[in-house]
Amino acid sequence: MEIEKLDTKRCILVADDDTDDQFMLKEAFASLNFDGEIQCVENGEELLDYLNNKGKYKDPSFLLPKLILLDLNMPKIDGRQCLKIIKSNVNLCKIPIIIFSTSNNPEDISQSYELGANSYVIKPYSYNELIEVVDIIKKYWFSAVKIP
Amino acid sequence: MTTLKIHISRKKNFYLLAGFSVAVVLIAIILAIYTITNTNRSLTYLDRSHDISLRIQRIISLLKDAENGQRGYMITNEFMFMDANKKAQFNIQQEFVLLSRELNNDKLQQQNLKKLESAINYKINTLVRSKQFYDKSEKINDSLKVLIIEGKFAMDRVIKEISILEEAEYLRLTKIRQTTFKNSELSIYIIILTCGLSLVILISLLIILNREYHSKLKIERELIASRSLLQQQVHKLNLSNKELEQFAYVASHDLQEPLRKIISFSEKIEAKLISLNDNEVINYLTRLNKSANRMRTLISDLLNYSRATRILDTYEKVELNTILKYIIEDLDIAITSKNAKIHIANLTTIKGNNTQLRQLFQNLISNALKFNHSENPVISVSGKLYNSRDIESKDWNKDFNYKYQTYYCIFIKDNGIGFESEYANQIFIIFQRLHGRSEYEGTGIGLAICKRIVENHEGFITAQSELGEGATFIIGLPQKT
Repeated sequence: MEIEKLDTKRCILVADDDTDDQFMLKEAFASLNFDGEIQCVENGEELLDYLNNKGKYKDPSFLLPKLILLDLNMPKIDGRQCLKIIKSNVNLCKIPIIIFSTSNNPEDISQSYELGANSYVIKPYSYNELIEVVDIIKKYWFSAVKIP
Repeated sequence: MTTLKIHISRKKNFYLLAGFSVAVVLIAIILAIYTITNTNRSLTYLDRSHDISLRIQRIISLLKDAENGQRGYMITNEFMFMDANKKAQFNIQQEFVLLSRELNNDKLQQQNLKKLESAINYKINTLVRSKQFYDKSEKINDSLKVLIIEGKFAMDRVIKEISILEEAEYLRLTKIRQTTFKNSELSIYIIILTCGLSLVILISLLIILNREYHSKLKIERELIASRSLLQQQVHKLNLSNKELEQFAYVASHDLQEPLRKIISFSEKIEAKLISLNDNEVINYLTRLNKSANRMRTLISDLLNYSRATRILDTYEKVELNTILKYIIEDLDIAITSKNAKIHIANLTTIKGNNTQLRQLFQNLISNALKFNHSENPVISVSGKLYNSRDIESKDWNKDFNYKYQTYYCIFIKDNGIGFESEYANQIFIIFQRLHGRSEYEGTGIGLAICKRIVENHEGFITAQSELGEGATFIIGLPQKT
């Protein structure tokens, strides 16, 4: 399958307070030759600022991300609240959101889908598993399906 | 405790007083009946003596009638007078019979009556004799006069006997009247005494009842106070339990994070070092990974355990057969690789939490597969509705406090390695294992989770087994309406 050519900055936005996870995700995408940019924010507040092109993320050449990887447990505004806010915003609701969390709690999973999450991925324990998951994400969202 | 003792002694006093008052009332009733009966008897006597004197008077008057008739006959020689005489004699007989009936049960009066009878008979006899004499001579002569005088004496005798009879009757009446007066006087005293006593008892009862009422109020107030205290304590306990649950959950959840990094980075190191072909380093890394993975399982199980401790607030209809169908699908690989056969009978639908019940049966069935070396492992699942009293008589009953009337019992039977029966309780305790890790993988949390889930559903879990004989796990879930 061929990966669609991506605009620079029309990228994947990772919202996770864990810098190790950010690093690992970047590494995994890089090892799979993903040519888009991967942007990271560390909490819900930053995520909303980024999406609304506000604060330190204000940028005249700003474009909305193609995909958001969202952790559930984050400081300030947590993933669930972000999900609710994004999915109720007319401009942002069409961006696919993949919940990327350690929690395998059935309640968390069903609540996330209820709030409008497009997928729910449990953070893999090993790096090799992570690469497999990232590969699937890349192939699914950037090749198998069309996203706005 | 003291309140209770006081309450009991008061209760005793109350019953004592109540018993006493009942006795007083009963005695008063008996005395009243007795007095009334006595008065009635006196009235009957009065009636009787009135009758008796009437009859006596009538006898005298009849005797006089007979005598007068005879005199009329003797003077006028008219038989019409003799009719009156005969009639009088007949009536005398009748009256006498009636009189003797009235005095039937009085010995003295019977004797008097006999004397009177003989006097009357004598009188009548003189009358008869005078008439016979007169009829023979048809005129009054000296002999007849003697007979008439004899008749007068006979009459006097009759009157004397009658007065004796009347005297006796009068004496008897006076006696009865006196007893009646005495009795009625006594009954007045009794009535006054009973009324007074009843009044005292009534007042005491009222006082006791009042005290009782107040002590009851006090106890009720204390009860309400202790109840609210208990509610507060329960609330506090619930809060601290919730906090503890939250703590366990967060702790185990957050423990996963660094572990994940350890595993991931050690894998990355392994990938880098593998080219160096340093067996020693690879051995270390393999051991490190193995330990990290074991910790991962432990944390994951602990997380499941902490999740299972959450008390259910919503109950849904759970079809046990559907749950088991999904579990068998999930365990498909293990079932196929072990060549196992799983028989599932027709199970019921119960009220509970779907996720927790699925976890429960998944743990039990995967245990049944895991601890089984048979070439053809067979696991059978069946269910039956039991009355709690019937369960108590079963050998697998475990002194459980049965809150509900009926329990749906599910039996999971396998032909695996089993365990010694003395471990039947121990296996449900967290981290308790009967085998070394080299023999069987596991954390010792699975059955503890099962127990928590069953307890959340207000049910019970128990197991029966002998070493090498397979095991049967029995789960009882209450039938809630």
